Amino acid sequence: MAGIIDVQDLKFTYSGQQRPALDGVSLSIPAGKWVAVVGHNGSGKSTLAKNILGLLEPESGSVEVAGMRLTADSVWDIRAEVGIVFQNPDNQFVGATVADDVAFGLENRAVPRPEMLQRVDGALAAVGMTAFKNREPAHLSGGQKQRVAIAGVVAQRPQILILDEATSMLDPAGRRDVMSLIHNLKTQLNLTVLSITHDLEEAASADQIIVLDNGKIVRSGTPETIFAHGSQVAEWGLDVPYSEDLKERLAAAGLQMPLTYTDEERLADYLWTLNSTK
Amino acid sequence: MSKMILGRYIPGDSFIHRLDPRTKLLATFYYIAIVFLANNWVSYLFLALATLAIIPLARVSFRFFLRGLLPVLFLIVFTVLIQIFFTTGGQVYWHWGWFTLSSAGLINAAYIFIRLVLIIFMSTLLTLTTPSLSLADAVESLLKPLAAIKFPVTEVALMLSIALRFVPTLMDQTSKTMNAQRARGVDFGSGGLVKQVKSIVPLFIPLFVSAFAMADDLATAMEARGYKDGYGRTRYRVLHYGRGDLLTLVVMAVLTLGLVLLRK
Repeated sequence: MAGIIDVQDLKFTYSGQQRPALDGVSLSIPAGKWVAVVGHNGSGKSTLAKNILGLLEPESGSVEVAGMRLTADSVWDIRAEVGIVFQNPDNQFVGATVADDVAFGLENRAVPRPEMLQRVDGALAAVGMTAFKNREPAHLSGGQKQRVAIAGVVAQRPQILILDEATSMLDPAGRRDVMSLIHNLKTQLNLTVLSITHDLEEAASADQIIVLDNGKIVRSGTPETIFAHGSQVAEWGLDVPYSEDLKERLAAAGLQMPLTYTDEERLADYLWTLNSTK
Repeated sequence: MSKMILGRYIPGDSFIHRLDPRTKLLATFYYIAIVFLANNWVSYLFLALATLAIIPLARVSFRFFLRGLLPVLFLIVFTVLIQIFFTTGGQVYWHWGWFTLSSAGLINAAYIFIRLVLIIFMSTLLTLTTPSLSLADAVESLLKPLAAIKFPVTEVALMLSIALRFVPTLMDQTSKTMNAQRARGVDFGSGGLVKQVKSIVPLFIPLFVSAFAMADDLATAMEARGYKDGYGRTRYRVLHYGRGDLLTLVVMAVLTLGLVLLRK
C-alpha cells in the first residue's frame, strides 16, 4: 500500500476488559494529508494513536509507518519518524526549562550537542517561543506549553505529526493559535498530520475524517460528506456546526437546502440568493 | 509554601552567580569544614572578615542573609545558652546549682555563635545564587564517578530534575483540590489536631490519584519521545569550569593557609 501510515485489521483489548478498544481497524493515510479521527470518549481514538507508536502492543493486525513494519526492533525508528502532542500540556513537559524540554527528544536520540543547540534554537524560533527559552513551565500558559511540545516535535524532524486532542484543554484563543501554527508547520515541513479531536473546526480543516465508534470505523470521508449527515455527527462525538444545525431546521421548515456541508459564509450566500434566483 | 521548598534563588549575573554550581557546592562544603580550624579571636576575626568580603560579590541585599538565620534562630540561641551555662573553666562570675557562668563559657559561646552564623551565611550564599536545577546538575556531575560501580547516575539526575520540575505543578494541583474540597464544606486549618488531620485525608487521596495519572502520562510522553534508559544519551545542558572557579580555589587555599597560621 502507498500510505505513510497503514493499519491492517488492528485489534487491541486493554487488560481486564472484555470488549476490545480497537476491533479490526484498517486505514491508510497518504503522505502529506491531514486526517482527523473523531469519536466519543472510549471510542478507541487515543488507543489507535498509541498503537501506531508502539506504546501499546496490538493483539493482532499490523501497523506500517513510513515504510517500516512495527515490531519490537523497529519501534524506536518509527518513533523517530512520528512526533506526538498529547492532551495535557503539563503532563508531557519533561524538561525543567523550555529549552531543556525541546532538547529531551534529541538527547534520547544521542544527537551531538552542537547540532542539538542549533535544532533547539531553530525549533523555538519556528513556534515563536525563542523569548521563553529559559523559562520554567510553571510560568507558561497552556497554549505556550503546547507550543513547546510542538517545538519538541519540530526539533525531532519527523515525517508525521499526531495530535492526541492537543488543543482540547486550551481556551478558544489558545486553540486557534495552536491550530494555525500547526497548519503553517505542516506546509513548511511537509508533515502528514493525524489529529484525534472533538473539535469541529479542527476536523473541518482536515482532508479526511475517520469516525470511530466502539473500536470500529463507522464512517470515513471528506469533511463535506461527513458533516452533510447533519445532527448525526453529534452522535459520533462532534459538536454539530451552527450552520448545519440551522440548515437542518430550515429544511424541516420546508426550504430546499444543499445536501453537502456548507460553512456559515457559504450558507449565507446560499440563503440570500435562494429566493432571488427563482 | 512553594517558596520554602524551591529555595530562595535570587536571579542575578554577579561573579558568584556565574560560578560553576559544582564549584559553589564543593566550596561551601569545604568552607564548613575549615570553619572548625578557627580556635582563637584572631582566626575568627580573619574568617569573619573574609566571609563579609565574599558576600557582597553576590550583589544580593544583606537582608536575605539575615533572613537566612531566622529558621535556625532557635538552634543558635539554644546552643549559645548551653555553652554559656554549662561550660566551666576560667574565672567564675556566677554559680547556681548546675549552672555556671564563667569566662570560658562566655568565650566558647561567642565562638560557637560566630561559627554558626558564618556557616549559615555561606550556605545562604549558595542557595541565593544557584537555581535548584543547577544544583541538581552539579550533584549529577559530582556523582559521575559512581557510575563505575553501576550506580544509575543519569537516571537519578533525571528523576531529580523531573521532581523539581513537578513541584509547582503538584502545588497547583494541591490548591485546586483544596479549593474543590472547601467548596464541599471541608474546613482546613481549624479545630483540634485530630480534626485537622482528618481534613487532610480528602486532600491526599485525590492528590495521590492525580499524581499517579500525571506520572503515567509523563512516562508515555517520555517513551513516545524516544526515552529508553539513561545510556547512550547526549546532554543539552553541560557544565564548564571557568576562570572564576580557579579563583575560588585560590581564595579557599588562602583562607585555609590563613586559618592554619593564625590558630593556636
